[in-house]
Amino acid sequence: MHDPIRNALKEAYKERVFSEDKKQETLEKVNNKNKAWLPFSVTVIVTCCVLILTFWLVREPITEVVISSEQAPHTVEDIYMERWHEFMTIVENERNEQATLTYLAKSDWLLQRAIESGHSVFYSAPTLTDEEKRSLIELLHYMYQWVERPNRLIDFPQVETFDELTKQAPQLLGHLRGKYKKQPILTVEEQKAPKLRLFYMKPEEIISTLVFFGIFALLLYSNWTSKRNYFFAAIQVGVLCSILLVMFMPSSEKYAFDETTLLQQSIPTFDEPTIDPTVAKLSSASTFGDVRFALVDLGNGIHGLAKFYKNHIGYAWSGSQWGRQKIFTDWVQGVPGQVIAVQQGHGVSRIDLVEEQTKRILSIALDPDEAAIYFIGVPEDFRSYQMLYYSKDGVRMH
Amino acid sequence: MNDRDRLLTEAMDTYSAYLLQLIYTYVRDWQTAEDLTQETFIRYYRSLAKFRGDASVKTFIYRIAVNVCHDYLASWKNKKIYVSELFQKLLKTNATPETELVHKDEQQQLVSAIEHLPTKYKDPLVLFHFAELSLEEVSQVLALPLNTVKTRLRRARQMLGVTLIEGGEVDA
Repeated sequence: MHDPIRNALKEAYKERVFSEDKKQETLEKVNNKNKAWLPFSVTVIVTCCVLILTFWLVREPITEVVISSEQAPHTVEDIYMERWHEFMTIVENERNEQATLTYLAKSDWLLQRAIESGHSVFYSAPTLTDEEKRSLIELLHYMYQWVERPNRLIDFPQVETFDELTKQAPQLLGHLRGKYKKQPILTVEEQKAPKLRLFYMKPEEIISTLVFFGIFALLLYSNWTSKRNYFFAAIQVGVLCSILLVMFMPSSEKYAFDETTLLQQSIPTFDEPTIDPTVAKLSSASTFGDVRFALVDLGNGIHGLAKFYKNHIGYAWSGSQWGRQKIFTDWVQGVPGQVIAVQQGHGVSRIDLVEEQTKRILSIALDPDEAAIYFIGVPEDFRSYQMLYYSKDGVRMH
Repeated sequence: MNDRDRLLTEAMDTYSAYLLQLIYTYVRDWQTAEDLTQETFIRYYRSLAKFRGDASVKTFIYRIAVNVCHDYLASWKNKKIYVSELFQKLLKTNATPETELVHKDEQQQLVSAIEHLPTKYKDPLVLFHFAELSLEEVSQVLALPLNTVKTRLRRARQMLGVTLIEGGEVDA
């Protein structure tokens, strides 16, 4: 049958064939597809690594601070027993509102940290086994809970020495655990996560990021194996690298796990040009439920208070205040309550919270020379109140 | 040599020359046509596990070839080459595509016209006339309704100025 199209094409292309060499090459290629994919995979991985390393090199250096334990003014034994005696005073005297308020005004966090770490800028700790450390930390936690919601059915033994208390702690915890909500006590090391953003992401964020990554990896694979459009491949590689960077870049959130990280993370938040990080010192730190505070002496007569709120990872920085004053106040949501942070040499010996209508007073005593952070839980009927400060001599201060 | 290698070798022995020439009508460059033919066989090899034998090997392999050509024509690489060639042609002042065509004989002109057909008309034309697929097979390969294939084939022939009586189809 005469077909001019077929004839023309066959005539024009008659000498062209797919060479034997090319056939052999094709056979070799299909049997080495993994090798063909390898250079591209290596390119992508190397590019990602280079980008991540570049980011690490150019990122802002972390403020280096050193927390020394050489000059710890108190021992864990003394402070723990002081706390125990305060606790027993409340146990033995029902309706002692003043003692309860004073007990709850102080945080045990620094004491817990000293027990846990064995060395602290605030307290020198004895040698304890891991089990003893965990028991003593947990006991402090339940003592605070008991003072908040007393349970008179629990018997507490008369203990005179720290060693005795250390021995009795496991038995006491056995009673307390059954009566109060069990809360896992995590050491700082257990709380710490690597400083990569991946470890700070919520599960749903990780899943959605991985799905997004998978989609782009598939798009890239399909592009590479079919059209091989270099423009789109570059975009896809860019997106994949960006996703990896987001996951593996250092977290931008400031988390405070211990005294060192608390000071490290706090210093950059005080937007004060005269601050010298090497001079800055942590004066006190406290944790009240979901809020952690750091009181910092920034040198040159400047002081600061940084606040960290708890989230699913740890205590993340939420705000700071600083200035030349030695007294800082803050409000804690949720509990709710008033926080008063006083720097060394503040001169205040008492603070009264006075309800303006009922004139009901909540009062806490302070050491006029010591830096500390206090918390006063404000009752619901305190709609509007005034804070009054009194000096060592009992004179009202402005 | 395993079964897949054997099937690939058979396919290359049977169809490689046809495929190379068919692909050339799309890309108009023998080196590229060889590479795309190779790509067609690689895709065929990788698709062997999925090939259920619903269509003939010939139809299956031509479908892959047409897709490879379409992918190439849509690719960035091809557009880059096309722009570069166009630029070179504009620089040549002594001979235009039209004047070059005058010197070719009638058959060469037809081939050149086929090569320059828009893809959507070239697809059914080369598959039907050159690859010798039936209209139904062309419809399968291009995933187009039979009537669309017929219409495009008729239109392609009209564009080439060819009148044929083939397979019951009469062109005016």
